[in-house]
Amino acid sequence: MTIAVSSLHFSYGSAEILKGLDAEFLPGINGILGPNGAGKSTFAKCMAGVLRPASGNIQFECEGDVPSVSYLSQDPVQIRNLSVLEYVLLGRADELGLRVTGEDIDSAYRPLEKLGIADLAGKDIWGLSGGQRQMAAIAQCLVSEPEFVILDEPTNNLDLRRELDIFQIMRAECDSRGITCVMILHDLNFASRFSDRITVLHQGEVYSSGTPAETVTEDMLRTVYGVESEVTINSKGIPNVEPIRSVSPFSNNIG
Amino acid sequence: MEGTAGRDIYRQLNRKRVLFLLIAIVAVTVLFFANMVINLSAGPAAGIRAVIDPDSAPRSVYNIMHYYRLPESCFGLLAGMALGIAGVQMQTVLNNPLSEPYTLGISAAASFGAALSIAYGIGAGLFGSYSTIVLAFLFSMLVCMIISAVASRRSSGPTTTLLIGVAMLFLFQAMVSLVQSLTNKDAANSIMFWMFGSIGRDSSYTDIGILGGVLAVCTLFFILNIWKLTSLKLGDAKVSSMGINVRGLRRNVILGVSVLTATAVSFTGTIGFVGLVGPHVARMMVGEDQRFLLPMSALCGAGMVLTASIICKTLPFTSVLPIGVVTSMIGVPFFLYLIIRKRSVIG
Repeated sequence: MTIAVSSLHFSYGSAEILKGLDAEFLPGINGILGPNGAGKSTFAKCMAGVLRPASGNIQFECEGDVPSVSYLSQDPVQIRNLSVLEYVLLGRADELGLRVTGEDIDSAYRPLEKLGIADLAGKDIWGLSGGQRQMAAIAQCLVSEPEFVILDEPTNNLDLRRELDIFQIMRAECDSRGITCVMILHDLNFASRFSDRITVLHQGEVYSSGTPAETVTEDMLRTVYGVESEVTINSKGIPNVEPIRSVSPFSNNIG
Repeated sequence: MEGTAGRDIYRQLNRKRVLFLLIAIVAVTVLFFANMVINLSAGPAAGIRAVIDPDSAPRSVYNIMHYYRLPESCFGLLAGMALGIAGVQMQTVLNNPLSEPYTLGISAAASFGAALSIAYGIGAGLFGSYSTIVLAFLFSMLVCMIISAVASRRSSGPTTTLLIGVAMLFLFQAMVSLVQSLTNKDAANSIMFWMFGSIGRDSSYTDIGILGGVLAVCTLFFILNIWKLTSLKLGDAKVSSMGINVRGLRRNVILGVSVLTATAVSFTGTIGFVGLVGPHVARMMVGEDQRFLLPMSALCGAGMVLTASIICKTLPFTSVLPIGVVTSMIGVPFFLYLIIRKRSVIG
């Protein structure tokens, strides 16, 4: 189950966002890194079928004819007057019949249990905290047991414990079902710690891709993020980033 | 046992919704019959008997019931259901809690079409006695199409769509006033009477058949897309990623809503706020699941129209108080409540 992307172009009007991307995502956790405006979310939307690229190819290799893709957008949850259980169930809206069966309900309850939020099942989604809603949105992504999961900043609004939970659950999903998970991330150390591979985007192009140790380097941080950093590799080969100062002329006095 | 807890929670949620639906069905049935027999000089029992067993009823009671009260109640039921369903689907596809035929200017456009027909006899040669209804239908469809075109543009947000609707409302209200000021006094009065909204205006069984048929076809279309409609609340990006053609769905639903709304308002005139208040009350009771929200909105719409009709019949100045005035008097306080208390929903 892989995603192969070749020569992907996308523009919003005259602004070219993706400039001929080539990338490959294999089973496991694939982190996507890059500064704001690098084109990460646009790239994710193209892969999820939300946006139609101007040109290029996105190939899903899977067991069936139609790939099962689930996508978490950055849009905040706006729905109210709906229980968390039904909100999760809506992730299968394209498959449900007029009569909701017991199996349908089980399929929605299972991801809530996995994420440790089954106690919220009967509560109105609108009454939850931002972090709890984010957890419910992630549960919705898992309800159809997809082969490909594309998560755009899944750890937004989450505390440290929940953030760790998400990575561990996605790791377990990848290991048990052999799925391909693509996650757009901002925390470089979490990305290095949990990703099998990392793709770094810079100005609409792939700057580098490979293992965390190959991609999260002082050179990459200086060029892509504009940040001077110290990167140390631990005994397990996982890089750890300590930012020192911004190389931006606006921040000369800092650090 | 796996899943038992989830099933219990779901069962509990649904039990409450089914109960609300049953209560609403009973209430609307009572209102339907009450509207038929209220203030009937022969008494309610004689009225009901004339409907159930026409042969045993006195001719005068039979005539009142079969040619006036029964069609009026049927029309109130269907028009209320149509406005409730049109309102809830407009709010769904435009993702705006203030969308309804009145606030989007559709009723005002129908009034303008009717005004043209009443004042200048436009369409009389072609459509005969149906010219007012046909012109009202065509102008409301025109506004629906404009709103649909604006809503389907990528750059248009819900606020833009609503503002276009409000602009249409003012434009067509001004144009109706223009027609009224240019025409003679009798025609101006007829236009004003049409605009007030009514369910008892020459409602024939043919009209009921037309409105009922359109309502049935549109409702069937909405039922076939019921989960997709519920999922629209998740946002376009999420819904598109599930393989649902959001733009196509939105276009088709707006078309269905346009035909339904245009048919209802062309027969009834302006019955304001039913399409706004009905769905919001329904949403509070049964939530966003359209399998419950759709029938509940229809029942709330019907309940509102029938209640307004009963109020019109029971107040001392019954002969002059139009139904649209009563629905607006219920609707305006609710509208204000929405703006003041639910600012987070309105945005």
